Amino acid sequence: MVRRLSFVLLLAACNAGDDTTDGARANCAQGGVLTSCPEAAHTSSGACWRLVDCAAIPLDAMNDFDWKRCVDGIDKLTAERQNLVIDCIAASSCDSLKVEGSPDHPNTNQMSCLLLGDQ
Amino acid sequence: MKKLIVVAMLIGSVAYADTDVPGLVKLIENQPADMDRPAWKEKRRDAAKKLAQSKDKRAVPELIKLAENETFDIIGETAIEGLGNLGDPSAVPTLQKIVADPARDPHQKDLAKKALAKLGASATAAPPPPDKTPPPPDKTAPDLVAPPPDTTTITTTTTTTTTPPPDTTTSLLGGQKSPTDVPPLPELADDTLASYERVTFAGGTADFGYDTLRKRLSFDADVAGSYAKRVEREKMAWGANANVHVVTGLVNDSGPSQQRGAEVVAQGSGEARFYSGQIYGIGRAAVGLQMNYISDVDMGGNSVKFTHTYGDVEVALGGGYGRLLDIGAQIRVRRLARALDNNRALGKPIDAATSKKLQLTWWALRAERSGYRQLVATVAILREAGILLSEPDAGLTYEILNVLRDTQLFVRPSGFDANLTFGEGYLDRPDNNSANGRVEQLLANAGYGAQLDDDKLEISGTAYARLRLFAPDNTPSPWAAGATARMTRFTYGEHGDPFGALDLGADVMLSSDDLMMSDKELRIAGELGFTYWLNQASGVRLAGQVAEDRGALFIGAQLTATYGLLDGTFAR
Repeated sequence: MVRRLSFVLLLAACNAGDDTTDGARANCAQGGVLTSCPEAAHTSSGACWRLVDCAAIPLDAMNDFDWKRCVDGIDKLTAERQNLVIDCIAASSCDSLKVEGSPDHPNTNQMSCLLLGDQ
Repeated sequence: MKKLIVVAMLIGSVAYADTDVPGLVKLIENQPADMDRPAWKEKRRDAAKKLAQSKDKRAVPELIKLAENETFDIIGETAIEGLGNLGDPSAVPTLQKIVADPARDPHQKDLAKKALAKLGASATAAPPPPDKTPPPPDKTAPDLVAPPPDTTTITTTTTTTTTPPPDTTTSLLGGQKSPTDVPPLPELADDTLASYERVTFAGGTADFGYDTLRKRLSFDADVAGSYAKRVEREKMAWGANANVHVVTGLVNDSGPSQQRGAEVVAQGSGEARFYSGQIYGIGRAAVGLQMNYISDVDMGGNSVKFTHTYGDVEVALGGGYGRLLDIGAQIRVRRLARALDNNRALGKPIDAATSKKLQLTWWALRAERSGYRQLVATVAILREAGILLSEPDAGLTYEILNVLRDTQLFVRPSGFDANLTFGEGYLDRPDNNSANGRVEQLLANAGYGAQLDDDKLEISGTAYARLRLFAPDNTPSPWAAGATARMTRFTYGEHGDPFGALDLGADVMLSSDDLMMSDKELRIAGELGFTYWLNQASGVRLAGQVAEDRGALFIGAQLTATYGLLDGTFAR
């Protein structure tokens, strides 16, 4: 199933024809506390979906930090660092997850929640 | 005609004279040895009714005693009404105390006001209620499992009488509570359509670890709490909520690498609506504050340390149509009526006043871990109202308990609501954040809910749209719209055991970042899940999802557990 899904993702990226696919943004991506979103799932993919929903990172990018790099990066962390990063992203407001270059070319050195997973 | 009146008066006099007041008083105060407690309680109520209708002034002291002490049982209400009918002014101070007592049931207070009106006395001239704090319990009293004595002797200035104590049960904290000693019921205006109060503490996770092999210390915690209250009245509605979320952690490797962080997020919002028919004007205000502290030292000894603060102050004004209510408590009353009807124990339909009294009693007792007092109070209310024909047997008691503990009756929307608002706000962000400064936006929200098939099928949905307006030059005006539809089938066992819920949902999101080279993005997602309920507001959920976003396909499955307990709700 994992191989099949990977194939689907690869095919999708080729079909898009662009360097970057933004992904749909959620209600809370913009506008401060008047707009809200359901709480993100406390998993690596759930945390990375929140970054996409918040317009902090793109869904898919050829050379930049995107959803798949986000999930892979969190999955490689030790358990306690994973907890910290995922909980931090889930609790954050969308604007606090955005950094210079967001959403297409985010500067990950400014992403405070990801810095908690640095090692 | 005159003869007829005289005869009627004579018959009435004989009837009054036939009332055995001392015998009735004795029956109220002493449980006969050959009568079990439920039967005696019924007899006490009947005796109090006879005293209240007797027109015999000798009944007044006993009715005063009942009115003062029986704060929950229907016998107290019977006594209050009787004091009004008997016309004895010596009852006025007692009735005024009841009116002035904030802990009293509003219905009893209303009855006391009516009784005072019959006596020609004012309801507001009551002296302050005397301190009725009972003496501290005897520390040498029997342990928690020891039954209370059958009778308690009280001495008055004139006589020594025995009066039955209330049934007692033991609280979690070790104190003793009477099942009829319900905390003060929430005060709701007569035109209240629905109301709720929710308190949730989400413990999240907390981990601590250290080992001497790696000489490594780690700690992380994620805790959150929220409070929400809403009142829907015929002409207006208001709601407020606040939540705080704290995430903090430390990872200290044996080398130079060390990460420390803390994130505090606090938000509060309020909303007011003013209705004219189904149309309403709406005002909303929201504030938010977030603080992030990060200290990161990597393996090479390079360090990054900063503190960022984010602040939001926003208001929105607009209009809308309709109303979406949480009618979970009302459905609980309907399920209760069905359970009684199925057991041939429903004397008459549950009227609006009894429904309100039941819901507010459940609300007042919501924090109790045990359902014992909820059950006892529910049966008492139904018996008092003449709805429950007799004391419930074991089977019916079990089904009533199942209704009271039904986990599937929280947040059950009903109705349609849609609104459009213009929002103005100021967002304080760090310098590198593009959202810094003023923001104006158009916001639309809608919600729908319907409870079908004897409240076992729920159809619900929400929709939103936002558009940034008046963005400065070279600043994008992003927009987004989305909708969610959900169908939930609630399942029950043969005797009303809440079993679980099967749900099918679909989401669609459409948005644009309004950036150079960016397109409109569309995501469609579907979810099929089953939730198995563990206890009130707590459950385990297994769900499978499929999502498609710009040609990329995502398939997933989730197992989640939730815990919550402290909901209090009402819907007329």
